[in-house]
Amino acid sequence: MIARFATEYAEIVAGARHVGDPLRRATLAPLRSAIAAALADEPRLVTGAGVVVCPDLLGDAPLWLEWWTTSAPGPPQPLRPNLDPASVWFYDYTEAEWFTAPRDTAQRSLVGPYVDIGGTNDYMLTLTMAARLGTEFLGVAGADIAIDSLELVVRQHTRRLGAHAILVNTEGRVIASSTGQAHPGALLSASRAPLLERHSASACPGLPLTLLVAR
Amino acid sequence: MPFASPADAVRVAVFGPLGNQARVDAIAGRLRGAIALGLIGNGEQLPSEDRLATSLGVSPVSLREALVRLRADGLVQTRRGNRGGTFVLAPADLVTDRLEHDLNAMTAYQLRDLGDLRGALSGTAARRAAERCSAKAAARLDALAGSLAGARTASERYRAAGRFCVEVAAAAQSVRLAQLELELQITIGAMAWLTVNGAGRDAKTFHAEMSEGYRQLATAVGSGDPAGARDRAERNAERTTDRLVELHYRLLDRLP
Repeated sequence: MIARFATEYAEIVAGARHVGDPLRRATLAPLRSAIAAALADEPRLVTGAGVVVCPDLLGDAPLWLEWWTTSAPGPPQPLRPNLDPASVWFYDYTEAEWFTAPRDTAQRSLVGPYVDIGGTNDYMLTLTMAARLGTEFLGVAGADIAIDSLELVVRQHTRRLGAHAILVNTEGRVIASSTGQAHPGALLSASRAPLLERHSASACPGLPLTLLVAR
Repeated sequence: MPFASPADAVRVAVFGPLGNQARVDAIAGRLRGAIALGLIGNGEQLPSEDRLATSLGVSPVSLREALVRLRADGLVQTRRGNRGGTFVLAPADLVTDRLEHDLNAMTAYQLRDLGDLRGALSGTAARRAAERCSAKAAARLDALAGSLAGARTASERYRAAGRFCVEVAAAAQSVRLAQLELELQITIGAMAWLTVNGAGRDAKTFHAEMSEGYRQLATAVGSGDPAGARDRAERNAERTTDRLVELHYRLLDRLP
C-alpha cells in the first residue's frame, strides 16, 4: 500500500517536471484518492496515511505533508501540524526517525509506539518508506497504526500460541502484550532480566519487531 | 428562582445547564490561551464558525459571542468575502492586562486547587517518563529546558515551559497526561510568567528557579530516576503555584 503512494508520488513529480510545471502543494492533490482508498481498505489498522515532502522540494512551501487521518468520525481529515520553524510547537519532521531512517537507509522504517505531539497527538506506530526518483530523495510515504487497533489484531494471532506473548520493538518497548507483566509502552530493559529469561525471542520476518513467547 | 426543596436547588446547581456567560468565558479563555501558547500562529485561519462550534461542543451563538470578544481584544480579525474567514493576530508578547484581570478574578483557593492538580499530573508524568523515556526523548527534554533558560520575554518563557511539560507527558507514553497538561497550560500556564507592579527582579528570579528546576527534571528523567523525577516535578509545580498566589495578592494590593 505504501509502495503505491511512493510510486505515484514519484510519478507526479516526474510528470510535473517533464512538462515544466513548478512543483507546488496543489501538485500533490491527485494523491488524495489513493490515500483515501488505502484508508478505506484497512480501516481497522490504519488510522492515517500519505506522503511527507522532502524540504525545499515544493516551490510554495519549504515543508509539507499530504497526510490524511481517520482518527475522528466522518471523512478523512488532512493533518496540518505547525510547520513554522520559529514556533516552539514546530513539527520538525526532518528530525523524526520515521523520516530520517528511510532517507538514510534503503529500508522501510517502523517507528513507535510514540505519542505524536503536534501531529495526531495519538499513541501509534508509523510505517514509512522512501519515495525516490532515481537516486533523488523526494520524501517518505507512510501509514500510521494506532496502538489500540494493533493490540486487537495481535491478540487474535497470539491467542493461537497458547502461551503468553509480548511484542517489542528494537528499543525493547512493548507494543502489545497478552500478559499484565508487560504493559504497552513499557521499556523492557536489562532490569527486567528475570522476565526476559522466562520468554524465548523470535524475530518477526520483514519487520524490526521481536515476539517474546513464554516458555 | 423558586425551588420545591433545597434538594432541587442542589440538583440544578449540579445538573443544570451552564450559564451562557460561563460558556462564552470558557470559549474565549480557551482560544486566548491557545493563541498565547502559540498553538495557533499569527495569520493562521480559524476553522469556520460552524466547524469550530461543533468541535468545541458549543452552540454557534456562544462561539460567535466569544469571537466578538476576541475581536475587541484585537486577537482575531474577520475578513468577509471570497477568501474570508477569521484569522489570528497573535501579539508579540503576553496580553498583560487580560492575564492580570483573570488572575485577579481567581481566588487563592482556586489557584492552590489547580496547583494540586498540576502537581499530581506532572508528578506522575515525570515518574513515568523516567521509567519509559527513550534516549532521544530525554535529549529533547534537555534541549527544551535549555530553551526555557534562554527565553527572554514572558511569552517565550510561557511557550517553552508549556512545550516542556507536554513533552514530559509524551515521554511518559501517555496521551491523556499530555492532553491534560496542554489544557492546564492553556488555562493557567501564562500567568506565572507575568511581571506585576514592575517587580522585574522577582520575575527574573522565578525564571531562573524554574529553568533550573526543569533542567533537574530533565536530568532525573534522562538518568532513569522515577522517584527523583516525580519529586522534582511536584516541587516545580509547587513553586509555580506559590508564584501565582504571590502575584494574585500583589494584584489585590493594587486596588484602591
